[in-house]
Order: sequence, then C-alpha cells, then structure tokens
Amino acid sequence: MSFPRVVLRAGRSCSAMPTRAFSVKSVARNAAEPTYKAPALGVNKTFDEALKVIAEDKAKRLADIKSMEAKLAQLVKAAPSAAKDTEIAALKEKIFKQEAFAEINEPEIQWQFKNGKVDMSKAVFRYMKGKQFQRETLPVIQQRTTQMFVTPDLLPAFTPSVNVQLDFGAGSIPAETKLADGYFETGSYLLPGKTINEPKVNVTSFHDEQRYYTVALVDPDMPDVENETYKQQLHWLITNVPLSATQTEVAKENADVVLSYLPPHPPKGTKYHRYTLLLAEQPNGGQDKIQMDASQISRETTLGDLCSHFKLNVKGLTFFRQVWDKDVSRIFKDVLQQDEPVYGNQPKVDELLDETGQKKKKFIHM
Amino acid sequence: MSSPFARSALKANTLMRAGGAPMKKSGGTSLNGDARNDLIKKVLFDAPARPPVRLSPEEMTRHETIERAWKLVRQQQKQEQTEGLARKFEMMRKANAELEATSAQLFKHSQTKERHAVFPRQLRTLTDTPPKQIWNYRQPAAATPATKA
Repeated sequence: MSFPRVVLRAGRSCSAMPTRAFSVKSVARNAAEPTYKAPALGVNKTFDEALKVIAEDKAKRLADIKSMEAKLAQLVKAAPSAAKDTEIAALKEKIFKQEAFAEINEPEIQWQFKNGKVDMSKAVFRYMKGKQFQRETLPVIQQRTTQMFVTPDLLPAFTPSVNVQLDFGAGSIPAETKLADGYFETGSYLLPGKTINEPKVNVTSFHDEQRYYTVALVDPDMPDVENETYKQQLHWLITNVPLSATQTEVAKENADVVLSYLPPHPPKGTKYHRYTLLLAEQPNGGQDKIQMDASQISRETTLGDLCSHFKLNVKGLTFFRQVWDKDVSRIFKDVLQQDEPVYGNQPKVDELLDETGQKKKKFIHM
Repeated sequence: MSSPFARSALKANTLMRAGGAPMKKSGGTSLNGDARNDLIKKVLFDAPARPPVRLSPEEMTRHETIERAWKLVRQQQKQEQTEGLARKFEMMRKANAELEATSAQLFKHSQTKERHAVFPRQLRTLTDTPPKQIWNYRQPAAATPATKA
C-alpha cells in the first residue's frame, strides 16, 4: 500500500516544476470544502451486498411510511375524541422514526453528519442531532447544573430538551474550555471584558414546527445585604422568539426585547456569579404570544415569578461563571454609570477586648 | 539475543541437571524432552506484536456500512422470529378460548397437570439377550396404585 505513494512522491520532486512556492491550484485545493466521494463498487463484495440490504430496508420503510400517512389522514378526518389526539401524536412519532431509520444507514448521510453538513429539515438529521445531544451534551449540562446548584437555586430540576449555546465572539473563550464546535462548555469562566457586548444565541431545537420561546439571562448571585442573602437580577429578557429545527438564531428583529442586554458585572468581594441563560417555551405548546409591559417586569423580577405568571415552561439552559476583574469597574463607570459597590466581611470583633481595646475586666471595684 | 524464552529454558535445563536428570543431546533446550514446549515458549515470548489495522477513509466507510447492514439483517431476523412467536401464541390462545367455550371439563383437563405422576413401573429393563417375545400385546393393562384407590 505504501510503495505506490513513495513512487509518486519521488516522481513529483524529480519533475521540472516552475520555482513558485505556492500555485493557485494547490491553494484552492486546500481551501476547498470536502465533498462526499462514494466508495468504489466492485472492490469489496460484502460492501456491495451491504448496500443492497440497506436499499431494500429503505424501500420497505418508505412503503410503511406511505401506509401510516394514509392512516394518519383518516384519523385526522375522524370524529374528535380524547384518545384521538394521543393516537395522532403516537402515529406522527412512528412516522418520524421510520423516516429517520430509512436513511440513517446510508454512507452519504453518515458522512454528512460527521462533517457537519446537517440539513435540519430532514427527519434523519433531526433524529441524529437529538441522539447526539442526549448522549454527549446533555450529561455535561446536567452534571454542571447540579454540581454548581443552578437547579435548586434558580429553578427546580428538569431535563433540558433544547440545546442552547452562547457565542460572545472570537477570543471570548479560554482555550482549555473550548469545545470542538467552537462554543464554551457549560459552567466555564468567562472574562468580564469579553461579555460586554450581546452574545449570539444559537438554539438547536428538534421540532419541525415553529414555536415561540422566551429568552432570559439571570444572575442569581447578587448580594442582598438587608436580608443577608442573595437576590436574582435579570440581565436580558426577550419574548416571542420564533424557533424551530431550521430557525436556530435568536434574532431581535422577529422578537420583543423587554429588557435590553446588561453586561455581567460581578461586584468585588463576592464569589463567582453564575450567569444562566434560560429558554422557556411559551404556553399552548409554544403557539401563544405573550405581551409583557414594562410596569410588570423589572430587573428584580425572579425567574419563578416570571414563569408562574406567564405560564412558561423552561426547556433549555446554559450558564457561565464570572469573577470580579478591573473591567467590571469600567463597566460600572461607563455602562451602568453607578458607583461601584465593594463587598467584604464584617470586621472581626475580638470578644476578649472591650470598646476601648483593653482586656475585659472580670471583677468590678466595689 | 537473550530472550526470556532462551533464559528460562536454560535455567530449567541447569535445574534439571542439578537434580540428576540425564543430559540431553546438544542444542536441545526442550523441557522434559518435549519439543512442543519449545514451540509454546516461542509463541509466548518470541512472537512479534501484530501491526495495527489501518483503514483509509474510503475503507472505513465500507467497514461501517457493512457493520450497519449486518446489524439490520440481524434485526430483521429477530423481528421475524418475534412475529412468528407472536402468531403461534395467538393461535394457541384462540384454540384455548374455543375449548373453554366448548367444554369446561375438557378445558380444565387441558390446563391442569397430573401432580402425582410417577415413573412407569411396567417399563422393562433392557438386556443384552432379550427373550423371543418382547411384549405381550394381548395382556390386559396392570392395575396402577392410583386406579386401585
């Protein structure tokens, strides 16, 4: 196998080539997108037979899908009943799975998925992405959320069904916590200087139809000195965001921004803040639009109140951590135009000394 | 070239000679005079490590496609098996239901088992020199203890 390659290399180096360091052709070849090249037939007989088996299976499944779709059409026309809706949902689920399994074994589909050329309008890619999310991304999110107590503190424990990722631009993620797809791992530390501008929110939802979501960025670790506890602060609130499997970006143009983006600003003296971005589905399966007026909502509204008042269902979650930096002072001065608070512990009182600093007297002079 | 094989064989040889075993022919490092032990030791200690299997992307695609197709075939076989079993069970269930509707006594008899069944005592022990008449077909059935009582 290696012998022909050696011969080729020797041939190239020996040929009389013009003395140019790079040719236009070679640069174009390197920069070209990889395209799928089907494996040649006739080389491996088992492979040829495998393709036949897969094609037969696909044909069978497509025929099955046709019959199920006919049944579904009949069901939809039939008289409404309580059992009918569940039956329709179950049948739709079956059709989805058959559509996915019909194409999943094809080598071209597998190559496209591995190389990121995913067309979410096809059932097979939605299925594969869903599985990938369940197996790879979800365990990490769950582990980080429980480890850093995001779930009991902000909202009760739940299983995310939608993948949310934040992009603060190039250079915002330290190299160690950067994932293969270019986003940061849930729970990573980000620098305050890199999160001043609004991030791009990328959502991988696995449903075909368009649903409305509410996006909220909450900081649950703002100190509340009067009550000797912590309070929540809403940094960002957008409602009526239309999202689907093919519509993955949170665009402000199609949605209503209730609270504009406030850059994270963990004050000096506090421990790390967990800035959590939540994606909540709006009522009636995401079909209802919500109207929020400024009088109802403020930056101090808690997430629990928001969800219970507007009947929101949290479906996706991600968070990052931040600690005070000199850039936070800059944010307070320029963006918030407030005096920067500095928190610290209470001064230590020595119980053995009195107010004047003298040792406490055990006996009194009679 | 002192492989573990050669070293251990030599040690075994010296031990044997010290213990009083007779000297073997020169060049023989076989333990107990058995040449097969040499081969075993050669395979265990001197066999080279096999090179890892390297597949090009095209070959990898072929391999994965073959694996998927094989899984599909096994899935289809299992599905056929399960469907066959389900059909058989359904036929049996229907038959039992029909019997129940037909006759209660026959149905009860079909569903219950003889709890006090015993080894058939009329069984004849086999012999090397059997008699001319093996079984008397005209003999009436012997009374069993169950029927007696």
